[in-house]
Amino acid sequence: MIAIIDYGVGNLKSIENAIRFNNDNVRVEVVSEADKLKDYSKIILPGVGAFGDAIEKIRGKNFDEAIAEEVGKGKYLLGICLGMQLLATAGFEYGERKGLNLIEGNVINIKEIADNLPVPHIGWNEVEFLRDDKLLSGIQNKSDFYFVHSYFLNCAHRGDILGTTKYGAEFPSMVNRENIYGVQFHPEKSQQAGLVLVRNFVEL
Amino acid sequence: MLKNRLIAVILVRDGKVVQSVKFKHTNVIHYDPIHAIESFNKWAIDEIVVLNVSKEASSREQFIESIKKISVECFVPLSAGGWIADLEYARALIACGADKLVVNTHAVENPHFISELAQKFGNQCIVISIDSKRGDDGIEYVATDRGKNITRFKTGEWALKAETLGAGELFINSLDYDGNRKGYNLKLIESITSAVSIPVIAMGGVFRWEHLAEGIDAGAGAVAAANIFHYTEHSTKKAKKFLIDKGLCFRKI
Repeated sequence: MIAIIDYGVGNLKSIENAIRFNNDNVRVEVVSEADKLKDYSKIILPGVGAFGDAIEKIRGKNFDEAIAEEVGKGKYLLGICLGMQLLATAGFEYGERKGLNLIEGNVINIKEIADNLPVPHIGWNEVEFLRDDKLLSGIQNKSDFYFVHSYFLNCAHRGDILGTTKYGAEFPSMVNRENIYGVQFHPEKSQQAGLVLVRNFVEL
Repeated sequence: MLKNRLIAVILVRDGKVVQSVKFKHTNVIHYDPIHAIESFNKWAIDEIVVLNVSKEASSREQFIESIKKISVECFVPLSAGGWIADLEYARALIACGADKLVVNTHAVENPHFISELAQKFGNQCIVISIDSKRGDDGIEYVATDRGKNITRFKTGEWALKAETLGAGELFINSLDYDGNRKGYNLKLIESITSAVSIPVIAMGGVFRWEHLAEGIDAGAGAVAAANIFHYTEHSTKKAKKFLIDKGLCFRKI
């Protein structure tokens, strides 16, 4: 059973629709209380908006501790968009804030690499996979995915980067460390490539 | 590198999908919007825009139901517009699955509304739709109320103002070219893309795939069409193939 964490920001319906599409038998629920998280086998951390506001809401509902505990048991976690950034050690959107510290690195403004390209980075862009992974099964390398963001997770360890995207310079658009995954793009808005990725996560 | 986008526009009037010819929406194409989504080759289109072109504001609730249905099967960014005049309705559209809001008439009547929306939902969420009509003096003027009302605002000036107020994208249609099958109003598109730095979506008049390529050449970041996608089998896939074969930068299918 899959939990989509609801901490009060964003539209969770699209992610739920993408999980249900082509996955008839999967059970997926939106979870807004941290102590319920233990009842689920996989966790999705979505998010839109600003880092500081989101991490405060997560802490306010004790989701930070619950996520750490469940991930510690080996459960798979997928952070999407801001949800990926929240996995970091710290974020710097409107002042420094501590993140969930599940993937070492800082969240910084894409302006720093975008070489005068418009920010936010919005639209379809290629993701180059750096290694094989079950999450990428059946997806062609350098497929296009849909992005909407102004910040990105600048990983401390190259080994945590599963995929990169070029916007001015390259940035990590997918991360993975053991049972923890993060994608900067929106798989639920990335058509076939995104739906395959979602299905791969369901089948992990 | 970011890709150009191919956008399908679905016009909904009183819950039915209709055709647009010079902003008249009389021919019904589908009785349920979900069939429009199904009839597109879903994997080729990069984005879907659904516009409520009903004459009455009372259509707003029914339109919410249409968006709800469409969003269940739509796995590309979904924009919704028509009769958006307050934050509450904007929020309702987003809550039922819209990723972006398309605002036209109310933005002209109350430009501050653009800033309000942008502050609440982010610039990336706000698409300002501008319908333009060439005046007798040769200058393009902004039209509102589904083309019924020609204002004294110059289209070029309004486009710049909308960008300054917080629009994330501009959706440009021409009353003179809509549904006329001669392609986009390229002069209009060019004049706007050269003036603003946000993406411009070209709309209105596409009858051949070549017209889409012309829109990109005129500087549009995205090219949109409605009628043609409903009447040609596997239309979006064929359009995409044409654009990619031409060497233009689109998402591969």
